[in-house]
Amino acid sequence: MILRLENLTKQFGDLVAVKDLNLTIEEGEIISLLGPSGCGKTTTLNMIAGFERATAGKVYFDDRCVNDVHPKERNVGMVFQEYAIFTTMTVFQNISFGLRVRKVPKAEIRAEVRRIAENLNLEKILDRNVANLNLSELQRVALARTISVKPSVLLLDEPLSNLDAALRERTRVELKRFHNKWGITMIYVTHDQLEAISLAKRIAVMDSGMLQQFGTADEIYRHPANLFVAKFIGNPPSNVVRGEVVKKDRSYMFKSGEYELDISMHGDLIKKALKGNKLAISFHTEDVKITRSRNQKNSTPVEVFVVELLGYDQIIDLKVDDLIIRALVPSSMEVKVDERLFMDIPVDKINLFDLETEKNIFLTAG
Amino acid sequence: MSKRSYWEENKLLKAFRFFAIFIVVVISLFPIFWMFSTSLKPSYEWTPATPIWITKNGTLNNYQTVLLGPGRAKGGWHELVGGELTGSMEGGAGKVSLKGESALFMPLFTSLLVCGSATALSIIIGMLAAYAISRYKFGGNFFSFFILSARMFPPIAVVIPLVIMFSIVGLLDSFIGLIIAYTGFTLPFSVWMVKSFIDEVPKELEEAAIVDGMTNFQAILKVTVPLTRGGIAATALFVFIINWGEFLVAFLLSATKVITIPVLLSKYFTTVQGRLYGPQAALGIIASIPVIIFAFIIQKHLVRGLTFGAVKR
Repeated sequence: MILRLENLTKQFGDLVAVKDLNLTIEEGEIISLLGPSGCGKTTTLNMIAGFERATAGKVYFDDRCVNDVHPKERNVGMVFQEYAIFTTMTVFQNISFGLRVRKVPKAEIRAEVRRIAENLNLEKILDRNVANLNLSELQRVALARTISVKPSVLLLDEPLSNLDAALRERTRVELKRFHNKWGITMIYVTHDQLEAISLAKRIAVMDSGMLQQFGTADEIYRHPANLFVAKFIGNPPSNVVRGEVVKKDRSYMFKSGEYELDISMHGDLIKKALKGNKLAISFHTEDVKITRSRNQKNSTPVEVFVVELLGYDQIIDLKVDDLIIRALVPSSMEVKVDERLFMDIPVDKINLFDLETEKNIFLTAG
Repeated sequence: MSKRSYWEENKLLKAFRFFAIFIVVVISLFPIFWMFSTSLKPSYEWTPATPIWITKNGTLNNYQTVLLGPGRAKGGWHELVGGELTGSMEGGAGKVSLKGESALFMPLFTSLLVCGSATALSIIIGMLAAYAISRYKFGGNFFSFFILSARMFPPIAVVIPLVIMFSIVGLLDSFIGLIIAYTGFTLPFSVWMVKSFIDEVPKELEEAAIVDGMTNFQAILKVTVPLTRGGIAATALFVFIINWGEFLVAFLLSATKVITIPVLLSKYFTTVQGRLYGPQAALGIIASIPVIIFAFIIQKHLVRGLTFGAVKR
């Protein structure tokens, strides 16, 4: 089924939860809705499921507008953050719930539940009471119950966020395996970019009710459409430096306070930027190179401000005049606070933003 | 003297705790004991100069009086002062007994009917209202407090206008009138109590049931109600007890036909003997039996058992 959202808008009183959302999800595709809490992800899901009435805009299942279709008729499956398991029932009763509501013959129910349970590694606990299950099992029971009625689209609302790290990873892998095998259209809501990237081919980044960017993980990572996406994607968060572009001799320099970066290599793209004066560049922490000796003529001398060990990697806060630039480097490089080093920002990997529109100039110019 | 160890201190504390609990239990159970003891006493032992804890002249006359009506009990307290007592009994108890049934039958039936239906109505309406308030925020934040406002007046201030209105529409001294009054008076409690239980059931559970093919109403009935069963049972018991012991409204709304047990209790009074403590105690004992039975029936629902709603850890 192709799911299409057309100018979907939801208002709660004065609060606009979702604004003019346009999104098309292909048959069998799994996409992630990624954004901070309160960005409208769950409201969007609720409108697709039919729990919330859209203030404006339409939800299409294939060519059928389902705005006025009751949730029970929409044939969607939904997995909730809090599992929504019926605690008064056993695992079997939970999984067979939808089938029993639909009055499917008993023998058929048994066969179907067994088939799904095998797929999700639940066959050994079918007779158990749900009170004794661990969180991963609970979430898989919820998933099993949801897919037992063969929904045409599966909506997952932060299904893993209550799980601890190890279980989360295992359940994520199970989910991915499950999707590969069943090929069901899925919308996966999360605030965790790692989950979004690992599960979905395409990611829709949302903020304040608006779609910020819809694209592959690589597109979002390499070419963020606007300043919000640039700040939101990347772990640790990307560096954003505000400043302006000035022409110096024949080259174009990005200037922030005393700090200057030659960005002439982006050529024509910058000419457009010269018109707007307030600008910002962004680059990922892992793209920042640190060296003990000056290896290029435009390397910038910096001072180490803070060092945070993360295990294999470490985050180093570098001080350039009033600026703090963060770099992610392997822990094997020994760095001391207050040490003087040299930093290179990879000019080919930066993105340039107009601070007024917050849009990526490189993308809009192209 | 041996040094006091940590354990000895603990034992002392334990003993003290036990003693404190014992005192509380004695204080709360004493009235019941006294009522039971009095119900077995002959009339001259009801208010003696020195208290009689357990009577040596135990008699079932008080129960006989309550069950059969004052005129019919044999060898009861009234024989001490002669037949004139029967005539001076006020109101309905005596009249009811004339129907050839037990004197207790009509008031007991009235109480059970009125309290039972009012409790059922109060719970059903309360549940629907509570659901609307809890899930749809019906009436905003203000409404749920507004519901309580009727309980913020002294009851008498609410009852008097009610009596006047009921007299106009002809609901005085009728079963329906009293049922309406009781339903109305207990509704705020039902709404508030049931609401707190519904609040605890995540709405995702209903949504899950709906996407699996249930209608909204089915989801409420099959998912939310079973999960709040314990709470609803507790609320029902609470409301039933309020109704069962209610006097003011029943007294003012009734004349001769609709006599509830608390009203009957107030009629055990004679000009000669004053309060008839023995029959009152006997009636008290009998009146507590339905409540105890009711509590036993729903007891298993009172235990909440499983974690409420979704399993969260």
